[in-house]
Amino acid sequence: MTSPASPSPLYRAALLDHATHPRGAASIPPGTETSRMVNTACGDEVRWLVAFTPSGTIATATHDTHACAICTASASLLAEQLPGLTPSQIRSLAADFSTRLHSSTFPSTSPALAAFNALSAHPARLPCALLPWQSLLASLPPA
Amino acid sequence: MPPAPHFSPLDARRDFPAYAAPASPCVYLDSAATAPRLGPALDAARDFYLASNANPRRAVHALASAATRAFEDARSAVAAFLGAPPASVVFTSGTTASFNLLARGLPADLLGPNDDLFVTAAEHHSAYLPWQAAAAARRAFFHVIPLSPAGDLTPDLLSRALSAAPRPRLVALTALSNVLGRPQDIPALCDVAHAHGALAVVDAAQSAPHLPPAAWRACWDFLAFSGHKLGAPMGIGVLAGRPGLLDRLSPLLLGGEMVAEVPPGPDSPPVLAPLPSRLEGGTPNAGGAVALAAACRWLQALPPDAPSAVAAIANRAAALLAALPRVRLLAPPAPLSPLFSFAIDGVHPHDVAQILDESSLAVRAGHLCAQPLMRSLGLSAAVRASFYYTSLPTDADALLAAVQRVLALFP
Repeated sequence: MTSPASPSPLYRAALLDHATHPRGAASIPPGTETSRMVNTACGDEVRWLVAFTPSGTIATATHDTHACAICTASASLLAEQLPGLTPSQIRSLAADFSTRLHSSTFPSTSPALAAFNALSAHPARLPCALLPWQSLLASLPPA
Repeated sequence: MPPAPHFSPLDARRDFPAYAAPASPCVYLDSAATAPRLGPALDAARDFYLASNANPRRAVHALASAATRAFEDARSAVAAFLGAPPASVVFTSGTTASFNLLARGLPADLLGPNDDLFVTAAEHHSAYLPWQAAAAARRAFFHVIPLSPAGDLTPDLLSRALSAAPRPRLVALTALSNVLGRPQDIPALCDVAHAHGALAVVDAAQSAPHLPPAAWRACWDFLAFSGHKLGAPMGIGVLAGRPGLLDRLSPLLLGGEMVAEVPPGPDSPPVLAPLPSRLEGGTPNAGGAVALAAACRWLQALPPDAPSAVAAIANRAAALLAALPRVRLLAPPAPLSPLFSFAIDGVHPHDVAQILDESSLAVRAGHLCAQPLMRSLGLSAAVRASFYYTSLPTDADALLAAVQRVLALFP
């Protein structure tokens, strides 16, 4: 039997750090977000407040996430990458994230992302990791 | 007279093939979702398909006669399990199908415009949604009765709700919430409904394996349950109803077997068959029905202390978890509660369930198909542990250790 001290293949320290101390998180008053998405199966909610520079790159992007550890960590890891990106770059990263998520091919060089490699064995949790990305895409101007 | 035998889960496990191997695959605490498959039920279905494989009621050959006898014997066995006459039993694909059949098929004089229809806040979506839709379609008023602080629909709460409405016509109530796990006083609640002129519709999906329905002496007007929660295969269930009321339902499924005559002319309505065929359109799940009958007989043969033995394990597990910091039970367990739900402060239910899975414990997490109840509790999701006749006392200790691991991972 797994003991209380047994490490978790999914809930590794690097992922839990992002889940409990999410980067780019802020309180966004309801109704002021630029996008909102909810997983009604579990109640996970991710709202983004995104502002763009005159040249169309991300100036600021904050998220208000009320969700499981997988979803919150995913939002945190995503938020870290955003400043300075164009919508086209974000869409490309979203497609890459989804592909790696389904194929368990996140590089070990990012311990937090590498924890997501354990998710392919739990397909019911894939929507948790994808929700922040799907919500963010709704904040982008049409392609 | 020899003393009644005591229930032993180790003895019970001999009848469940999943536990045939020395090492069980996991600590299965999700029987409220679906029970472990019962060997005698699987055997009954297999025997039917090997020896009586024909469409019941359709042909005159010997195999069809055998299939019909097996199918109708199954109906009688299920009726005995319910303490009701065989004419009150209609086979469906499950509780969801049963409530959809009932909600759509009730005649307008039993539920019509401006009538008051009641459900409780604890109803599963399989009851809540069909009745909500029926109220909208029939322009009736849809009322949701809140529960007591302990999580019950008390006779007093029901009486007050019905008294406040001008035309109470129907009350849909669960005998045992799939979230809160507290058995309800069905005879008393049916009495209250009837005293106010309302039909009583009982959801027995969770209670049927744990609370012998025959004890209610068919006090209800309609009742539904699913075979897979008794260990029969998925895809078979029952809608039971008072024969005088059942006879008034319109069929949901039009097709084979449920029609006596299809008159000539495209505008001529069909002449429907008598019960039960009228409400069992299409080829029936005959193998499922005989399996369900076997499951009902298995439950009826259990020692009388079996339900309380299961509840004792559930209650002990609930008490162990409730003593932990940050763990909150959604309702106080009752003496015969076979399940309970809980939340852990600071840990999402899906994360709890995932970590428990790493310890080979299977629980259910999410809204549990009870979003109105979750909302009334201020939650979007919870974790549920449900126990069955295959549960061992050590399962409670395994659950405690696994939850302690959750607390350690999320300090």
